[in-house]
Amino acid sequence: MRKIWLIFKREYITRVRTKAFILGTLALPVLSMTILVVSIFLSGGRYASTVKIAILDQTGELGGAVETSLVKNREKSQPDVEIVQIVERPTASVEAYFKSQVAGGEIDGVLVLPVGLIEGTADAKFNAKKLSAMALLGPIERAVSNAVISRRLSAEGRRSGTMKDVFRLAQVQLVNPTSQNSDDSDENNFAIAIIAGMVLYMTLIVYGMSTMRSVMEEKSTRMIEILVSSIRPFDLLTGKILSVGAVALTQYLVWAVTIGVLFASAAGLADVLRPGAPTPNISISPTLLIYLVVFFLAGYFLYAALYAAAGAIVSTDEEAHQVQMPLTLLIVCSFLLFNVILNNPNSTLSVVLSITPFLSPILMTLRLAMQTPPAWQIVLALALSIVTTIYVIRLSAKIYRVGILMYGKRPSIKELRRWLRYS
Amino acid sequence: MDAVTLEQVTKRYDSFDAVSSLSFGIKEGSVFGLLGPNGAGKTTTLRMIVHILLPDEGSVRVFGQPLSERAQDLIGYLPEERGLYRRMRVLEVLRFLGALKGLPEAEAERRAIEWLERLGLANRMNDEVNDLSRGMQQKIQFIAAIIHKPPLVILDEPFTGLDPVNAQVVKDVMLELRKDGATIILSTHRMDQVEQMCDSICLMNKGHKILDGDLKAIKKSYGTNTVRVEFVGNPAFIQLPDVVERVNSFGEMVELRLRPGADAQQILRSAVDHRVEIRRFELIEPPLNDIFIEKVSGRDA
Repeated sequence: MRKIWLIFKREYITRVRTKAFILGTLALPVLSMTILVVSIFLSGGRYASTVKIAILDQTGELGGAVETSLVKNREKSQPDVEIVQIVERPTASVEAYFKSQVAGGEIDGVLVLPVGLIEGTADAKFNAKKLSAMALLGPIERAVSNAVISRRLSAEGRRSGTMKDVFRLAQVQLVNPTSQNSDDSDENNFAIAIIAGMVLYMTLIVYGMSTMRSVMEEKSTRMIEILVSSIRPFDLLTGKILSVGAVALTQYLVWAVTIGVLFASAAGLADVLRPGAPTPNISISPTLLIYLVVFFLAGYFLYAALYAAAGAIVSTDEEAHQVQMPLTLLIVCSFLLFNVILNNPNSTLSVVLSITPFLSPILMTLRLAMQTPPAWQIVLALALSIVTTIYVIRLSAKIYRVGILMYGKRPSIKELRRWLRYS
Repeated sequence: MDAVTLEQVTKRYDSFDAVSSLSFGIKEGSVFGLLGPNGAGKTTTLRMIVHILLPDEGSVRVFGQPLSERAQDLIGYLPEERGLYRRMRVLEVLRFLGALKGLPEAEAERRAIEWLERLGLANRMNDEVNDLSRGMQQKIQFIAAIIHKPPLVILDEPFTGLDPVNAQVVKDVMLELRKDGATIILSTHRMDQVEQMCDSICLMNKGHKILDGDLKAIKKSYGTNTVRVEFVGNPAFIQLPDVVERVNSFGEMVELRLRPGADAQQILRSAVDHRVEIRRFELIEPPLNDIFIEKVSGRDA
C-alpha cells in the first residue's frame, strides 16, 4: 500500500505541475466566462426589441391591470412589452387565432387569463415560442398576481375567505406551441446534456491517453526496470491509474467550483456589464454533477486500464498511434451516438445503448442530464460497467506485466494471447 | 549461507530458452561475476534474481527465502538499460526511489545528499535529470541502487559509459560495500575488471552455464600454460608452431599459449637467436579473456 501511495503521489505532483494541466484546467472556466459574457450581450440584443403579446381575458376584469403592470409600471430588468390587443371573454376561435399567430411568429406571446383565476381555481397560461418572450414569465406572473390580489381586495366584501386566500399568488404556466411535450425536452437540460457528454468524452480521451503516455514514458526512459525491481507491476499500474484519475477529479473540482461561482454571480455580472439585461438562466443540478463524477470514474477506470495496456505493448510513438486508435474510436462511438439519445432518451435503442458497457459512461450521463431514467437502468449500467472494468483491468494488468519489459516489434494478437497466459 | 541460490532455473520465451536449467550459488559477502557473450541470458538471469521475471521452472532464493516483494527490498539493482524520469529533479528522483525501497522519505533524502556529495554531484541536486550528462545520470542510478544499503547489490555493466576517473570512484564504492558485508553480483564484458574484483564467476552461453566456481581455482585448473613476454625488436621469434598454440599480441607484449607438454625455454632460445631484447618473461595462468573465448567459441557446449 505504501508503495502504491508513493507512485500515486509522485505521478500526481508531476502531473498537476505541468503546463498542459494548468491550461486545461483554466480553459473551461475561461470558456464558460466568455460564453456567459457573450450571452449577456447577445440576449440583451434580442431583448432590446419589444415583445409583443396579446391578452385574452376570460374573466373580463384583469386585462387592464395586467397591462398597466407590464407596460407602465414595468420592472427594471424586464424587456419592453407592447400589448397588441386585449380581448375580453374571447371565443375559442379567437383564442386559436392568436395562438396560431404566436406559432407563426407574428406576435411573441398570448397570455390567457381563464375564468376561476381570481378565485384561485385556475392557472393563467402564457403561450410563447421565443426565448425572449419566455424570459417575461416572471414579470407576467407578478403582474397577474398583483391584478388578481387587488381584484380580490376590492371585492372583499362580497367574498368569504382568509387572508391567505386573498394573497395567494396566481400561477402562470408556460406553454410552448411548437413542442408536444414540454416536460421532457427543456432547452436547459438539452444544453447541459451536451456539455456533460462533451466533458466526459474529452476527459476520457485526454486522461486515457495521459495514462498511456505515462506508461510509455517509463518504458522508453527504461525507468520501468528500476521501478519493477522495487514494486509489483500491478501495484505500479494501480498507483498510476488512481493518480491520473485523481488529477482528472482535481480538474473537475476546479471546474465545478469556478463555474458554480460564475453562474451564481451571473445575475450580478449581467447587471454590471449591461444594466437592465435579463439574467442568463443556467443551472446544473448537484445530482447531475455527482452522476457525472460517478460515470466519469466508471468510464475512466475502464478506458485507463485499456490505454495502459496499449502503452505497455508499444515502444514508439508511431506504434502508440496505431494501438490507441481502436480505443479512441470506442469513445468516439459514444460521441457519434449522442444524437440517438438526444432525439429520444427513452427509446428502446437509447435505453440499450446507455446500458451497454464501454458506451454507458457517456450515454447514461447524457440521459441523466436530460431526464431521470428509471433507477434500475442506472444501477444496471453501473453494475455492468464495473464488472467489465474488473475483467478489463485483469487482462490489462497481464499485458502490462509482460509488455513493460518488451522492446522492439509490437506484438501480434497471437503473441498477446500468449502474454495473457503467462502468469 | 548463500546470498543467492539458483536451482535448475529455466526461462522460456516464445521461440527459445533464454535460460535453461541454470544452477549456481553465490556466497554471502563475495563478488560474483556473471559473464557471457551478448545474448547469453545474463540479463534474464539477473531479472529473475531481482524478481522482475519469474522463472518457468526451478527456484531462485535470496538469503534463503523464496522471492517475494519483501525480498526485493534486500536487493539494489542497476539495470543495463538505463534511464530516469527526465523531468524530475535529481534529489527528488533519489528520494522517490529510496522511499520505494522502503526508506522513510526524509532518510532517503539525507542519504541521497550524502552520496551526491561523495560522488561530486552535490551542486546538481536541484537540476532536472535531463540536464545531466549520461555519465552523471549513470552515477545517480548507481546511488539509487545502493541508497538503501542492500545486502545484495546487482550491477549490470556498471562501468560502461564512465570515464576512468568515475569508473574508479564506482569501483571504490563497490569494494567498500563488500567490506561492509554486501554481496555483489557483477555482470560485465570487461574481463580485466572481473579479474580484479570477482571472487567467483559463472560463465554463460546461449542460456547454459558452461563454467562456474571460484575464479582462482578455475584459473589454476588451466595450469600455467601461458607465457607473457615483453620485448623490443622483431616479433617473428614467436613463430614456433610446435611450441605455441595461440598468440595474443598487444604490440611489444604478447601472451603465448603453449602446446601441452611444450617447453617454454624454446621461446627464450628463439628470442636470443632473433636478437630480440627480452624485458619480461613470465609463466602465468591463462587470462580470463582466453578462457572466455575458448569456452564460448571453441568447444560449443
